[in-house]
Amino acid sequence: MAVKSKLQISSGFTLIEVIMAVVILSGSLVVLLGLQSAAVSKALRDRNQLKAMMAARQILAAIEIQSETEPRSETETVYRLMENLNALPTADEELQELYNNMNAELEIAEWPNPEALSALTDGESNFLNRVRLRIFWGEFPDDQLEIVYFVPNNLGQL
Amino acid sequence: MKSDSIISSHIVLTNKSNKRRKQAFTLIEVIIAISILSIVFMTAYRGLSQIARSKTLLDDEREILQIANTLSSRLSRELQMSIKEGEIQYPGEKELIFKGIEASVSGNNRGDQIIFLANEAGQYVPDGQSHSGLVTISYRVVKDPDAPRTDSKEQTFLLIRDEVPNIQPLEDALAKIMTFPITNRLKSLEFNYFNSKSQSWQRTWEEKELIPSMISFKFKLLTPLGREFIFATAVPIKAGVEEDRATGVGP
Repeated sequence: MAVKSKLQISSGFTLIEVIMAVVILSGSLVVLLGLQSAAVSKALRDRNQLKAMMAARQILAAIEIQSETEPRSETETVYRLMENLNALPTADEELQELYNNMNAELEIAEWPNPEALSALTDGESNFLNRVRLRIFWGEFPDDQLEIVYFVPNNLGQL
Repeated sequence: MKSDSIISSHIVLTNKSNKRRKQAFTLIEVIIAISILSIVFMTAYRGLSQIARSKTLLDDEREILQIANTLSSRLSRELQMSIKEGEIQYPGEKELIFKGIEASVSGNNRGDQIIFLANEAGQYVPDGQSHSGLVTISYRVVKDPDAPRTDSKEQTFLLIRDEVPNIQPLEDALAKIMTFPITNRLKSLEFNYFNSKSQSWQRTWEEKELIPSMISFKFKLLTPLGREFIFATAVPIKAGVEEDRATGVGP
């Protein structure tokens, strides 16, 4: 009897125990690594958002000031769209590289006059245009910035 | 007789299992185990060090993103508050409402200066008296006496903002000038101005009685690790749109 109990004490782990320990260990490692990589991709997304925001500001500034308000719809790379809208002072390779892989979808459409303003506008032409700008990159649905904006379609009509 | 045989069989059994317990791993088994383990550790180490590296780079970048965000929203806000009536009050400048000076800091990098009148409501003037909210604001790029501040030993510049309250005469206004640096990580700053009369871009601005209708700016910042980042955007300026188009008084 004494011999048997001594034997039991000095016996090693069973296979099941070892497997369970390894599974728990690798599970926690996977969770930790997953957290890290989530933080990394969030930061990356932050940077792209800032880039897209600055590009959008530049595009909208050009639309607002140059009364570039003919109804239109186009999908282009961000840099090409800026060129088309005369939003770039000069051809700029650095900017082209900065907005590399960013695309833009621009849609300018007439916006019906509100009822209340019909007296002012003689029920004639619409005086507002609705600008919808979507800048997108990457393959995830989150990888985009969408802005809806209104501009007078003929500055000074009202 | 029966119990005797049970005891003897028990002894045989324990003896056998005791013998098995004491059996060690063979060399082959140990080698295989070690090589599997080392492969696993190597893979894990590679992944971890990659993550650590990208984390260092991201931390390095995050600071610059903060500065860029602050800088571009501050510039946009102040430029959009620029007005087109009055005269800038700044040492050496007169009879202009808006001035854009092109300058070069190093190589192809520009370090432009901009001086404009803006309506900064609620401004702080250090004499405790109340003044109008009208100020002359200037952004200029100067050499950083403590540079280089980055690991790459590249030259960085200071972006200085001056604010002069609208008080006459100029000496009194300059006595109340407020000057402070915005960032010390600047590598270049470039302004371009859109002229609504000629419908074209200019690198400098010295027009009289007209201010730009759109200003684009581009700046480069250096991170603490010496990496370069470019930011660029543009702001529309309502006061800069030609009179007849802005108010509807056609020719």
